[in-house]
Amino acid sequence: MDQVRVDTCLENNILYLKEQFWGCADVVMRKLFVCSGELPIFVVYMDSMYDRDLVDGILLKNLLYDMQVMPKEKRATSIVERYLPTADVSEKDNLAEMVNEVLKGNTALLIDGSNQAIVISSKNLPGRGVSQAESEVSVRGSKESFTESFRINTVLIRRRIKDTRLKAHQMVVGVRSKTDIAVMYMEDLVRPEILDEIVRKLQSFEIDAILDCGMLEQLTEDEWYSPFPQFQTTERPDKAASALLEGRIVVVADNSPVVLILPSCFVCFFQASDDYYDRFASVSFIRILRYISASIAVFLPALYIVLNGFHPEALPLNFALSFAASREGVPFPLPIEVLVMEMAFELLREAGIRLPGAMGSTIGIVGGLILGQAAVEAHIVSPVVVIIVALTALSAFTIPNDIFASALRITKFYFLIAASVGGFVGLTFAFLTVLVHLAGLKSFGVPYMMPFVSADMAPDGKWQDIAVKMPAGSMYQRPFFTRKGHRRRLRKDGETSQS
Amino acid sequence: MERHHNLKMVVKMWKGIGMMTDNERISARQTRWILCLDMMAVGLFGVGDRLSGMNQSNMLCACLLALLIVNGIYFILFRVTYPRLCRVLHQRMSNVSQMFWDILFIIYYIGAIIVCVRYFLNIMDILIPTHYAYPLVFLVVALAYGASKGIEVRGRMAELTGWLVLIPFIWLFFSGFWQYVSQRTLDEIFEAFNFEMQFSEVMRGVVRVLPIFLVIDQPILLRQHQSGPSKHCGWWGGMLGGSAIIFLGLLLTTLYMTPQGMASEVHPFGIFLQMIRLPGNFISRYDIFFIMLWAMSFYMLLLSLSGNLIETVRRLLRR
Repeated sequence: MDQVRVDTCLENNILYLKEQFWGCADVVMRKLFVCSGELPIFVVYMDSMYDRDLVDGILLKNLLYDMQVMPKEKRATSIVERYLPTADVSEKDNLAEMVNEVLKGNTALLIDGSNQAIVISSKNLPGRGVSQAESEVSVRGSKESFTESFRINTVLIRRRIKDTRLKAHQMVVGVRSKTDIAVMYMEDLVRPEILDEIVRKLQSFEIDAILDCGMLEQLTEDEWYSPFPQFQTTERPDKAASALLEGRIVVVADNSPVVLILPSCFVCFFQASDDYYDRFASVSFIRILRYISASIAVFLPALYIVLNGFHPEALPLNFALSFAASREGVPFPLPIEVLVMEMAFELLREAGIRLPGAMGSTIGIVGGLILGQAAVEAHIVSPVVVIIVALTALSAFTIPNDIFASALRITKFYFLIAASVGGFVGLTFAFLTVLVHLAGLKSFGVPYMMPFVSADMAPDGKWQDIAVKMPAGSMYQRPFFTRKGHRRRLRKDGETSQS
Repeated sequence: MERHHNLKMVVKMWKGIGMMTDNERISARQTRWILCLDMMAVGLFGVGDRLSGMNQSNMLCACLLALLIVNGIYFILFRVTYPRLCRVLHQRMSNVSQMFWDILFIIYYIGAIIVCVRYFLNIMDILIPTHYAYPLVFLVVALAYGASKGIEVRGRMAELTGWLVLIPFIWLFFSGFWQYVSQRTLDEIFEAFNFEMQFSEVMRGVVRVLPIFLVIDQPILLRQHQSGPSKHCGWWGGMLGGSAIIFLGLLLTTLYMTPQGMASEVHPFGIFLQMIRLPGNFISRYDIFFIMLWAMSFYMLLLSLSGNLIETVRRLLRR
């Protein structure tokens, strides 16, 4: 950052500011005279990014009409102490820093004869309010979701954890965007090495702009080529708060309606917010269902090709005959048939997402019902393939995390191709490569497949929240992300809280 | 204390300067799974193949004795010889001697990999009716990806595949026994079993079986990646688990196929897999699934061999 000192001569400062803001039609700069017209001051702010009531209604009114006497020295301090009706005020001696504050929506005040600029926090940025979560819908829990506003997002978390041990390490990333980033963590629960690692990674690059959390994710993850996400994203403040209380770290970025949670493991992507508010039996049932549906989403088309195309002898005779009969008249080989139908479904899905709400659902109906039926009647695909593809798609939608579901979809195509070329052998070795990849994957030092692997590293109670979720009254331990010695989260009947 | 220090020094020495990955340690649990999968890989099909033609008693006794010897060798290598060997390797060996040992290991690994791959392709050729174009290509691709990952990943991989392979086989053996017992009376079972045992025949069987365990991952090389004391190195769980699976597999194969039936097949265990029916009968033949599960354990064995080969070559090149 440039080191341009605030000059005691106001005209020099104005010259610098006009030069900096040349061509910026959205900046408002005005020279005013206070102290009965004897003292010139200069006000700078960005149009429509400031709080009009505070700046015009109170601040400037106070300065113009109430200020009568001004000491010769420490003028900025005197104004701050006596005429500014807000606590969030700072003094800057660097003009470049002051310009940055103005660009964030704050108001700057320069006073003739003072080598300090006053920056008044008057941000009032346009943006939507807190709305309902759309991609992580909850039946029983909170309906709130994060917004694009950085401060609202941190407040939504702070509202849920009213503890001074919740810390927010704030930094600015992006040479041009100057995006505010907050690394939030529980001071006593977080593993220090993971915290150091994420802060180091966030400071390790220079980039023009960070426009969303997704860019941070890509810039800080270790295995960039992996389809599997090494960060968890959420738009739900309650989920972020829950992650913090497990000793994980939450990264909040300005302009992003989702936050990043790290470290993240394979099992984290099967957990939804509602799981912790509902009865344990139904949650456990749903969890098991999710694991089964994930397996279906990945393996079903490939297994269909393998069993129907390579090993019909493994199927009962009636079953095999039924499959064969359904394919009568279909001109394509089995793998092509499945691949075509899978690609058609992916097209429908993408079109459904891009189109506005009502049209999106229309596309779903048109694609799912009419196109599928027409394709079967035209003998382009067999009815069984339509069922297989529909079941696969349905299973993928049960995964609570969309990015993880996308990874499973990519894996499904990999398995599909391997099964088409190499039958069961191809599928098995393709599965093994994915397994090796997952075994080698780490999210900030934590093995991705914890607690299925490296179980010695995990503390007691590692299985309490995996396929079967134990009742809240039995979940005494925090998961393996938490710092050692701080893993107890539930105490009963007057137990002391030593850790 | 001194012994522990020596272990550390030897670990350092054997790793050379700079590992191929940052993975250097495995836990006792991971060792257990690696050994168990290695045992299953070589023994499930291999023991039956080697012992077919003998009568049941000789076959089972030879199998038991061979497994006992293998377990004993591993016990000696893991618990007794290792610290002493480490001291010798570290303090007394010259650079030339170390290079000689490295070259010897490289030859061993290449030979073991060739033998294993040929055996795998032979099983694929004979037991899977569908003609596969490139099973070797898939195997090589998967190995190339996995072998570069280092010991820690291999350990985690063993943990992941361990239960995945073991549970279906336990289920298979349980169903196999149930199916066998429920279809026969006790008298029929005893009549079918030949209790005549000949010591020379048993010893011949042991000699035939023992070489197949030579391709198992060397305990020395596995032990060097552990930091705990020898008694917690996890060898016995893996070895005994793997041995139990092998023995049960052979026992069921002899019960279902009889020695005469086994003698006429190249891979009797594969034929036994075709005969098993599991409850539900949703799938009419399970052999392909179980062969693929065995292929997973075989992959783990090949992963260890090729991983150690790469490691040794790199170490040799650095000298």
